[in-house]
Amino acid sequence: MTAADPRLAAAVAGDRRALEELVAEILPRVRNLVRYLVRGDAEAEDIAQEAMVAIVRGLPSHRGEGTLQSWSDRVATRATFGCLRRVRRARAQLDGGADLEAVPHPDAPPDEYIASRRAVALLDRIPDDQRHALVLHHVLGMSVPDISADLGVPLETVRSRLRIGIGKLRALHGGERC
Amino acid sequence: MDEPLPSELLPRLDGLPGPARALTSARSAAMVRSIVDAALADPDAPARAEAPARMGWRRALRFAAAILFCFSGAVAPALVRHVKHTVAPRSPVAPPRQPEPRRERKHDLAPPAVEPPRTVAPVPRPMPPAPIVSVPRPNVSPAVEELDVEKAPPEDLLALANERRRVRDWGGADRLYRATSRRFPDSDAAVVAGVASATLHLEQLRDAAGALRDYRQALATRPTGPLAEEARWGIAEAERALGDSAAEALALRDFLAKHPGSALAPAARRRQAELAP
Repeated sequence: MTAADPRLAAAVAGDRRALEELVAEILPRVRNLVRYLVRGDAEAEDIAQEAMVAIVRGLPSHRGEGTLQSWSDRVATRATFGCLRRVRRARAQLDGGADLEAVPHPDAPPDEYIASRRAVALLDRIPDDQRHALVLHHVLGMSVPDISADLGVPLETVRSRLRIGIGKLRALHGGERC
Repeated sequence: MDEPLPSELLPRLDGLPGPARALTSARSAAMVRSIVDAALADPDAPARAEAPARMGWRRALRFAAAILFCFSGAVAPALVRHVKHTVAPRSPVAPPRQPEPRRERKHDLAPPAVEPPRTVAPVPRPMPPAPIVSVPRPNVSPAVEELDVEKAPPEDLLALANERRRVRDWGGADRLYRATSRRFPDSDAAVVAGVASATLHLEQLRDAAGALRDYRQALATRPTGPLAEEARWGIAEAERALGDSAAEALALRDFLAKHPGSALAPAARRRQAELAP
């Protein structure tokens, strides 16, 4: 899927079928990205849907600078953070470890699906600010200055969150293997 | 800080199943439609206020029991890597995965060794079981041209079972799942096969009692494993099909206690309310 994808122009022009094809193509990655950023499957599904709606509505503003995938990643990330801010109170209730039961047994099959589920279960156990920095930097490949600008926090804060987050993630991973 | 993280800590972001829960193609299609509906309904309205999409998605939860089909389809081929302890790295710069070419299978399956289904009422389903989402995976070809069920490794048995299921050969699929469980007892492959077989019995073979037995066996083998949620939900569904409301209520209570954040939790609570005296 490239910026020159004829489906993009067709979708923007109102071709529902083209739009559905694009959504079907983008949706799996967006669901995964949102799940990386958001604690818990149920909330991630709701937010992924909202992120997708934001992407669809933003398609006319996509100017073809960069790939549609990277653009949709950014839109999804921003939509996710927007949703998280709105539901902060509800999320605070979930922060008590509601999803800890989702941490798989150490004997879980290390297949790719299971591995990614295991990884996100570990992410669920570290603070959101560190989680978001880790995902933006190590999953989306954003630079520290870009993260700093997106999150509105100083560069050193981003670096600190990354450093501490990696340490926690490694510790959790090591502890789970023991 | 900029040191690369091991892939098991933060696997690559892509469109394949995980870390978001795997979806059936039916549920995925329903989501696509509701997203497009919501986006086109009122372009100026905030996304959060799009009730139709949210309702559509919520309704789709009713079908989430079929997730197992997709899940086992995704897991089975990848058990190759599990058994060989060679999980493919998912580095952020890895090239896109290429679809695995379909292989012709020349063998004929022996007659299914399926137990005669017990006569029970079919499970009430809002829609037929969703087909498996076709997820291309590289290097996971079962390479089964002449499969010997008594010698084949578990990943080949599971991959072929998925093929049988795709062509709606429920008996053939079940025979392969059972061969996997019999030959590799207490393994992860046996758990995957057990839950997949149970779902076949519940949804296709009208054998809720057999499904219940298999779900319980899978849960006993891996009570906190990645399929425990599906197994607990399956137990509740099987009890419902058997008409044992008290057992179903207990199963739902157990499901919600163990998986309060599950996507199926709202459906479980609704069913609990229906069963309440």
